[in-house]
Amino acid sequence: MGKNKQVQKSSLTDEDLYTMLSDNLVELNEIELFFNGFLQEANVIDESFGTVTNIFNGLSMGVLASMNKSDNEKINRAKAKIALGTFVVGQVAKGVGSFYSYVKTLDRANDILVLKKEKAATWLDSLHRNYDRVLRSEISSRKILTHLASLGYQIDELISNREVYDVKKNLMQMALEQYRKARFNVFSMEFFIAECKAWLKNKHDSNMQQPILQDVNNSIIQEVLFQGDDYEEVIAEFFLGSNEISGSILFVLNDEQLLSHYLSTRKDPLIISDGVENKHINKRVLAIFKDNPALEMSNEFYEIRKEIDEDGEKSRKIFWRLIVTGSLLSTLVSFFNLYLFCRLVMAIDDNTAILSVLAIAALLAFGGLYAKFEEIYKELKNKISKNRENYERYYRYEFALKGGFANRRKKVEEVVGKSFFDRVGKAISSLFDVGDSDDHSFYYEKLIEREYWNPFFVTVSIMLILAIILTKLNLFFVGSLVVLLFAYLKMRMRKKYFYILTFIVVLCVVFLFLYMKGVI
Amino acid sequence: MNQEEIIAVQQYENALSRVDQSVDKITVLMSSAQSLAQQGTQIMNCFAQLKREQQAYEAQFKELKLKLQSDLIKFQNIVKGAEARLDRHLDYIDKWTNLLLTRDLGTMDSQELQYQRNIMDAIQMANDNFNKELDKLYSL
Repeated sequence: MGKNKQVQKSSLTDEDLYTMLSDNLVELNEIELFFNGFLQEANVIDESFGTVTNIFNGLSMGVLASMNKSDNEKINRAKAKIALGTFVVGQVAKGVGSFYSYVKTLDRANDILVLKKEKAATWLDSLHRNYDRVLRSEISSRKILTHLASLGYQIDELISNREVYDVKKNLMQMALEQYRKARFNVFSMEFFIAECKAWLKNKHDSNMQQPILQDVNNSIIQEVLFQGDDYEEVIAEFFLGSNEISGSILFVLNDEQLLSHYLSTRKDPLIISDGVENKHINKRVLAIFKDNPALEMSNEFYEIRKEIDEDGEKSRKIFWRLIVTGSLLSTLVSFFNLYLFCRLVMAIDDNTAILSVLAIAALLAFGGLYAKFEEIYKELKNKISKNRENYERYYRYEFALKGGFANRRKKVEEVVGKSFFDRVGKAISSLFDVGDSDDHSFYYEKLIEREYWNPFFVTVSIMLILAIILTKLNLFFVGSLVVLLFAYLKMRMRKKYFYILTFIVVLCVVFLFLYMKGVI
Repeated sequence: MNQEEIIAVQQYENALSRVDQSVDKITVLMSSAQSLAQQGTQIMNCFAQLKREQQAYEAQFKELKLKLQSDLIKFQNIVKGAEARLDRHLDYIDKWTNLLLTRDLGTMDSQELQYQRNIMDAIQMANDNFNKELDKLYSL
């Protein structure tokens, strides 16, 4: 263990590497800082003009407010003109501010391009030469990695010689880290050369994207360890219970970044934790990579997802019970109300007639309520599944971050426009203050808040709804429910059956009416 | 009063009312102008801030340009030596890598693994030196 620590000390961490290359190779230090500086300044310009705009807007609001105090129509008209005038001045100030800040941004991007060109002209030859060197170091590291990846091991042997396995694991990790750095150097150099060439052609950016660690990890898995094979299938097969493990799988399972990246690309990123819980994955296999922080993270996410599922299930059950009891209860109350109405208000003495009317009314009331509740129930189910989806998106994003995902640097041309027409368009849009809509969501979206359907709150809400319904229950309500039930049935039933049902109900009502009147 | 006098009085009253309205309008304008003048200092401050920003930018840009020129001269002076050192580190990396690849990397023998670790340490050191040299060269 002591030696392991020593090795880790002498080695640059991934964070060091990323900072080093990002700051010095890719982002060009001072120039980049300066670029960010003037973008901030553009904000200052916007803010300054914003203040001016606010002052004028404040004035126009003040004049408008004073209009109510004066009864003289002509004076009010004059005030309205002044208010409109100051408001327009404010808006113009805002537009001019945005335009000014855009022009400044373009000016400064061009100033900086001159510096970048000087740097590119001096560096480009050396970059080309050093690109060959960086490639040489990558090839060297790749040889060790592919050799280690091609070997096979017996799981029992690895588990029984834990100490030896730890040394081996450490050796493999060292090889992997060295390769990761070498590969990142290659990507960064390619990007940097492309950028320098673009600057020399008077362009602010090249067509290449700034490399991030996720690109490196992706290429390690796809191109180096599994060399074009369907790695998802290979790993899935391994989990089915083989006693043999290849070096390439061992690399993925033992490295936090690779395992996180692998999980983030899976349909279900918690597949391993789920497999262990449901005994699709042998715990013996798990012993090989149980120390990997990505697995711990996966287990934590899995536990929370289980809680979400259980809460959802509880809410569903409680809601379902409430639908049935609530509908029955409401039906009984409406039944009783109608009975009183027939007896006391209509003064009908014929019990059979009353009971027949009540039976139909109660049936319709029950149906109506049931339909309404079912609608709410569906909404609840959608909410529960949306909640789960949001959570899944959240942990997928977290895995991607651990797997090296980061926001790439915004290209200068995205800020100032690429072509002449682009720039004119941007200038005009800035004059009218039409902001660009930045879609950073990409395919990873961060979950802002987790939302639970707490069974307690669901119960309380339903009780409240019932209380409101029960206290307001009357004939009008029952009538509404009948309409609701018919509307619902029309939606759900086939046309033919719906018309038959309607015909039967109308027939029954007519029959009862005639019976009550003594015609039949 | 005869008809002419009545018309004259009406005209006079109309004129008075127009004067009143004009006075009211002027009062409104004056009050708006007054509050605008009160806010004027704030507006002036905004523009003064913009001017300061512009001056600061120009000074910073000048400084950056000078630093860049001096860095580029330094770069030209050290590039040959740095590249020679990079080649030396690469030679080490190749040498140790080739040695490692002659060993049985699938072994579970602890002594052999320890030996391989020593070689790996050497490779790592050479790699670190290579990366640092590269970093030093382009961080100017």
